[in-house]
Amino acid sequence: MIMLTQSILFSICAAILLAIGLMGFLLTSDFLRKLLALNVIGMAIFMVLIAAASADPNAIDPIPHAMVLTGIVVAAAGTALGLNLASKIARFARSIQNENSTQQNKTVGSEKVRSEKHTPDGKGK
Amino acid sequence: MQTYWLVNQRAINILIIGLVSVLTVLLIVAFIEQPVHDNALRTLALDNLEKTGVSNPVTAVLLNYRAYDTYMEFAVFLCVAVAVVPYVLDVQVSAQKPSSESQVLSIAKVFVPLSIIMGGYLLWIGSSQPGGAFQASSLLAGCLVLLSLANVKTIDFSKVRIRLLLSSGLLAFVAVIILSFFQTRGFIILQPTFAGALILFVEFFATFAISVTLFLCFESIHKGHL
Amino acid sequence: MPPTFYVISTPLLLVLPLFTAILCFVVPSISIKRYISIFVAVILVIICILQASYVLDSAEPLHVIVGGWEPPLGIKLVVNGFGSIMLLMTSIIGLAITFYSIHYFESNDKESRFWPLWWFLITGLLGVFVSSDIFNTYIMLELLGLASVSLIAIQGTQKALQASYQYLLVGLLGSLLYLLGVAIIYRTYGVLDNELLAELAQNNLSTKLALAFITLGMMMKCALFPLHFWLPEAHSNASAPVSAMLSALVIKAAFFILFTFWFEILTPVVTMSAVTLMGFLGACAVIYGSYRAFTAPRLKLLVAYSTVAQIGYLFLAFPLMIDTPELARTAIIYFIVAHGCAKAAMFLSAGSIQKAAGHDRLAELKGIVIHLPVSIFIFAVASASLIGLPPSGGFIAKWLLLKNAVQSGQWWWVVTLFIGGLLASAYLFRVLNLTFTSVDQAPILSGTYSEKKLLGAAVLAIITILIGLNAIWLTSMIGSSA
Repeated sequence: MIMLTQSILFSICAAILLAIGLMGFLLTSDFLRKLLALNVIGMAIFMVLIAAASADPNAIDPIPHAMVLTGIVVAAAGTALGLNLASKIARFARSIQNENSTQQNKTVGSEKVRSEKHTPDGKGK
Repeated sequence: MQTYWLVNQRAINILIIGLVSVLTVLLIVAFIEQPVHDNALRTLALDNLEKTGVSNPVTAVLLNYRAYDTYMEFAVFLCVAVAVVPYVLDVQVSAQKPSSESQVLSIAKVFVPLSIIMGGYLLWIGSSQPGGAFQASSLLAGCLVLLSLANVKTIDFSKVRIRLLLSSGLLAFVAVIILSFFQTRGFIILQPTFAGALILFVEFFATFAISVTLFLCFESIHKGHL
Repeated sequence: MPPTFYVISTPLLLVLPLFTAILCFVVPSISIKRYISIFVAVILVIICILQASYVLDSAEPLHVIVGGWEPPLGIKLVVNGFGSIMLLMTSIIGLAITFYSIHYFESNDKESRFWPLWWFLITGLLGVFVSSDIFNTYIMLELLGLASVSLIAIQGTQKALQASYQYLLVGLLGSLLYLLGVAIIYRTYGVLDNELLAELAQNNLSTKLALAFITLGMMMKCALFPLHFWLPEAHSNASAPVSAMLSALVIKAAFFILFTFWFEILTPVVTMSAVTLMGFLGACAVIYGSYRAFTAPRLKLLVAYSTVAQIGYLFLAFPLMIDTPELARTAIIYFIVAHGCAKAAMFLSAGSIQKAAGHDRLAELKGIVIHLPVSIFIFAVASASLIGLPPSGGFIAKWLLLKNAVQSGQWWWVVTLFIGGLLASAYLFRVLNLTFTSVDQAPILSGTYSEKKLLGAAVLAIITILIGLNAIWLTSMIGSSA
């Protein structure tokens, strides 16, 4: 019979979380949900590392903690970039949609129309 | 034709679920049968702790034993900041004044000073207790987000000095690398007497850089979808 | 003890590009960014040449202990034979593309976003090739991936943004699977250093699973069939200098990591059926990629599918590593160098054609050779290397692989190599045929175009011929560094 220590329980939960995240990533077709699923997978991997650090409750290993801190920062950076790209794609699509609808309907003064302005490279003081 | 496509998609989904389940079961079996390694690394880390200049083992690992990883991590963060700055400059700046009855503004008035003090404390205490640059920068980024939600004009990203602020974490680390090279003739070898001060120097600038980067990523999405 | 210079050469490779990236980000003037970039690119080439000649001559790797802490507590940087050649390639291709990019961009806005991200990309590449710590490799992979995604996204078109988002998702998943492998390895062995791990590695379930996850992750990042779906969109919608670097080196960085794990770190786990599976996937990649390249309507899409096919050749060498490791290793390194230079030259010339003609639809590029002779010439020389015609480097690489396959008696790979060569000639001659057809159908080109930016690309194309002519000298140098 296996010793059901806290560490083993954590690792098993991490494996199940990984399965949920991986299935979520592969089965959904919505791109934002895929990004969320990646975050879930990331959390599962960090759980594996923390469980490995706490195998002996009296002697906690600091290296995986540093690895998890670094991993969280890197995952946050990747997610931030992904969200910004998704936001830009959505704005693009919306502006194209607005152009098409104003061309068709010729409505004037639509409040939601925000055209993209490229600000000049004025990095002045 | 429609039902054929559905069945195909169903079949692929079942295949995926099956494969992932098999992998998970294998992973669980591997976790149960394989014992965790013997903790030789921990003993090594704790034995050398007094030479690192800090007394928190995690901070020692992050900024002394494995400082190279943290250096590259600052680079990753700056890379994302560089990529996102054009997106925040692209959106129209709406000149909305903070209204005096705004509830968010009243919350901000209470929380922002408290968070700044708390952030400073977290940064300082990181050398002996859990804490450090990342934790402090998340708090500061939260302050900036709160202020932005209250329509207070905080940071103008078109100025050059903001770019300098974003790069300050990595620049501080590069400065430490160059200075410590002249002192010890090695790559990121920190002398034990100065190590604590150098680590605090790097963490101080990193806090500002990371918090402004996090705020930048929030702001470019928030302003673009108002 | 290596001379003093070599103690700081590797750290300089990791500090200088990052400092340049910060300068390019903060300084507003675009001409200063260009001057700094060219200057630093030349310095990097000089450092890498000196380092490579030292490592290959003395046949012993350079070690740098970071932070003064020996592994397993600290991180070590190692420049071995394979790594020094990859570093040299990165710096030389980087210099050629830097020179190209100075004359390429039409809008200052895009160019000022390009330069800092470009230097982050170079740092990530250099970091992967010197890293001897599995967690450090993860961070370098992330830097590489995020810089690549951002570089594709600066194009600004809807297709480029979507392609870069898809690449981001696939890249993040690949890195996360790699991190899972690292987590399992740390849990089992407690060390993160490559060489210590190589001593401790055993054949148990955990290690097998770790290698499986790492392989899945790296397969995604180097676009091995069937996980290649993101590459054609991403590489064809990026601007030409970005596509050149991505196809030439970023893919090879993932392959470098995969190769190191299979044959240097976790060797007890590798079985004959596993390498045969990788070889089979490589063969599928060659055939499928060549087929899609043959039917591609656009020039850059064709070149991108050609990358999918050529990556397959590298994996064909996996089964050959079991029987004849030195010979297969030399073949792989030779192939990477030949393909990297040829593909970069090809993308740069395709970019010049696209800029001059305003589009890259193959059907409408007939007879363009009278306007752009240099571009077509470089494209032709690069094609010769990809097809494997003598005296190019590609011919030597394929010949080495062939000799290897025959020697170890694995005839299926011989057949695949021949078919691959035939298919490559099919789709590449298609391009050359179209561009050389009847001169009176030549399109009228709008706008100004100059071909002086192709100086770097010409140098790369010449290199592919040079390494073919100097095969004996190069193979003995590579072989002695094993």
